[in-house]
Amino acid sequence: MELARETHRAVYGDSRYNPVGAVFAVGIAYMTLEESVRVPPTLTMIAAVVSLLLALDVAGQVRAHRTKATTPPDLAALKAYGSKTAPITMEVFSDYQCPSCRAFYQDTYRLVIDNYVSSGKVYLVHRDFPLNIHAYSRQAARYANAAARIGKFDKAEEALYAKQDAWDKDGNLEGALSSVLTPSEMAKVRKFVNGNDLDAAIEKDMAEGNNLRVTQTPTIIITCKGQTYPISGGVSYPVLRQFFDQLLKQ
Amino acid sequence: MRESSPLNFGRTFLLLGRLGLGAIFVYAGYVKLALPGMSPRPPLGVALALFAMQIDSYQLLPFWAVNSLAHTLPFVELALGLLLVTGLQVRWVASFSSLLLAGFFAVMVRTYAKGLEINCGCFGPGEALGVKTLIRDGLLLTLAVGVAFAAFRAKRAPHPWGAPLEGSPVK
Repeated sequence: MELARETHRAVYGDSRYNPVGAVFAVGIAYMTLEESVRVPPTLTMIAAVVSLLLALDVAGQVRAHRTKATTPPDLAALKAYGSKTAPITMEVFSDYQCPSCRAFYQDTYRLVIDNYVSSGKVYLVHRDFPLNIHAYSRQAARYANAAARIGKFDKAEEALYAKQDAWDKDGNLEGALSSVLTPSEMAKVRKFVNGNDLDAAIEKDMAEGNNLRVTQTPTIIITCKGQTYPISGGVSYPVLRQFFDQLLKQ
Repeated sequence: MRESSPLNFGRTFLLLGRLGLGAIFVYAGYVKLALPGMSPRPPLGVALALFAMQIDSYQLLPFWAVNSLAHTLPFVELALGLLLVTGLQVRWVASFSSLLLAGFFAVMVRTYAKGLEINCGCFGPGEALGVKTLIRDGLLLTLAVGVAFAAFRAKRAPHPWGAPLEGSPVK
């Protein structure tokens, strides 16, 4: 089924135009015009409407609309930095309320983005791993995912870590994000947070972490040339840089 | 067993202890350098840089010290292991091993007490530091101290089959 969809997409692009329906419609029109074929006018009308609906693939569009409305988009790509084709992939399982994660973000993560992601050497992926010991970390992850849906993940992530001390006490996440989101963006984010879609994205990250035996944050999983290197706990930038350089030298 | 027997408790413990401890040291060094769990095996530079990250996660040393330790410790472990297995200078080698293991144990206890959840790094990547690793390292330290003690004790009571010491009366 997926192959058929891919083939259709490859031939006809993303258009909802259905060639089978179009051929059927042309046939009905021919029968209507051709005097030798005697078809009752009512039947011709019904057939024409059906074929027109088939041609425009109305049902398909309705299905697509429904699917779009209920299925959350894959947020992984929206919570990543750099190119997927980079030789090194670095996944960071973190919790916005964890002090070690903040230290890692501020001392190492930003420098990795500036020096390795921007040069196309590292594809950096944020993975949510909110720990139960932190009261607001899951809600913070919801806000970050909501911000990702409007293309503001990087700003939200930076603000959440920068103002961790403030919202850690009272859970005022919107106060932390207000410096990087406009009121209209905040309204969109709030709407997504109040929906139920975002938990699925967080759970997906957590399930991936559990598969990789992640138990604490930050945990870094570095993948290069088919090898996976797990690092538990924070790591300083000079040591990580040395590791990247060795991987790139292989 | 009689004290003069070549297989009294002290000598047997010394022999088995240094062989066991030596094998463990050789294995620890080998795992850090070769990363045998990975296929194909990464180059030595990658293995050492990975070990440096494990040392760094203890948040104890500056970069230059982390790097120096990462580039020497696996080789030191290999050398200690080989010396223990061969029995050369066993008193000093066992004493040095005890000091090294005491240092590891102290750092691990400190890290565990601080609540840092990191990898032990003792036998390659991927092993979490916890009660199990603390007990294991504590037992290794006890074994090393025991071997050092037995080695010094054996020096005072030479092997009955060994050559008589200079100046000692020949029976």
